[in-house]
Amino acid sequence: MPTDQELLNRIIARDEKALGVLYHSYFQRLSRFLLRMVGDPELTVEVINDVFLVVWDKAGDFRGDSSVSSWIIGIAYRKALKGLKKFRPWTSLDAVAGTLVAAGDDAGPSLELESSLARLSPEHRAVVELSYFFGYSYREIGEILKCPENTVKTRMFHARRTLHSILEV
Amino acid sequence: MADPVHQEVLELIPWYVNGTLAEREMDQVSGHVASCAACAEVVKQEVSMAQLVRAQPARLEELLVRRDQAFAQLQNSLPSSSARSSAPATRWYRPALAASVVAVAAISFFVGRASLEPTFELMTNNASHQGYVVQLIFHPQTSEQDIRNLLADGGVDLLGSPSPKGVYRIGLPPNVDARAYATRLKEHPAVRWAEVELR
Repeated sequence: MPTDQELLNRIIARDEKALGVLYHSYFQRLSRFLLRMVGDPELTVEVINDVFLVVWDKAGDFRGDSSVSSWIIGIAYRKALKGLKKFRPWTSLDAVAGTLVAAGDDAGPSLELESSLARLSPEHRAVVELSYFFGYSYREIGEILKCPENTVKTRMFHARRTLHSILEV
Repeated sequence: MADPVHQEVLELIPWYVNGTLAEREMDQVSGHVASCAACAEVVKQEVSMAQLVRAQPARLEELLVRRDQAFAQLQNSLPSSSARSSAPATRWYRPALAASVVAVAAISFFVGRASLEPTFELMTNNASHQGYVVQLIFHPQTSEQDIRNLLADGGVDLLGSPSPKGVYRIGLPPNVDARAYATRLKEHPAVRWAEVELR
């Protein structure tokens, strides 16, 4: 199985198959991250495809300062923020409204979490997801979000406080 | 908590929990947690929180089955492809257009309803309210009569129109326990979800 860097090198050479391999390998991770960020499945797919258009165009600009995964997730984060600015939900509950209506009545705990996360700012949601699902260090998160490490820690601190007050965990 | 070491440890706990702290920081946190009951409790809470967050988001499965189709769409929009899909700049218009159609329908729903105060705020739902606000969604099969009955109850104010996704905002009177009110609303058979809006 080629590494992400090897795939990027082939993408620079305009290898669409390599793009496909990278796309399929990242689709689940990005779906998960972006679903939490933008809340809407249609928007999630559009953002994923926008991310890989950037990967296709800018593979040659990747300098290896971070891992390929950090680079791709960083692009996804910025695309998600842009998307949310253009299509901001009316209320925090809008982000999970489709999920709430579609889910069964016994899906309580996961919906509590989804609606609680939706009440955080996108910046705070990203830190929570990158820490607890993706398992990044605060340094790596700073690289992904392009912010100082202390900002990462502060955002996480405030996000935790808000989530605990909502969830009473 | 004015103790800077304590505050520093509190901020590092999430990465202590996910095991990514550098060795020095890991020693600092574990040493402090061993002698601080409050921080030990915070660690337990963050372990629970991490487990909750790691759960699969709802609707992820419906996305995963679309992977191949989504990639095909991407291929069509690559500059090398002769069959381009619609330009990225226009993609965002589709949900906004759908939202405007639903917003107009939602406004029409409220015009002429004597028991509800009509509102003509289009495209936004940022009606302000001094006290707590509760957001709620009704079950799809809930009748208009049930919605009006519930919203006419207890001195609450309907704030603006429902959103395109059917989220209502209601302003509570002062001195009402907002969290208890939202919990009671969630138990109402017509209500799918209710929660207190963060200020």
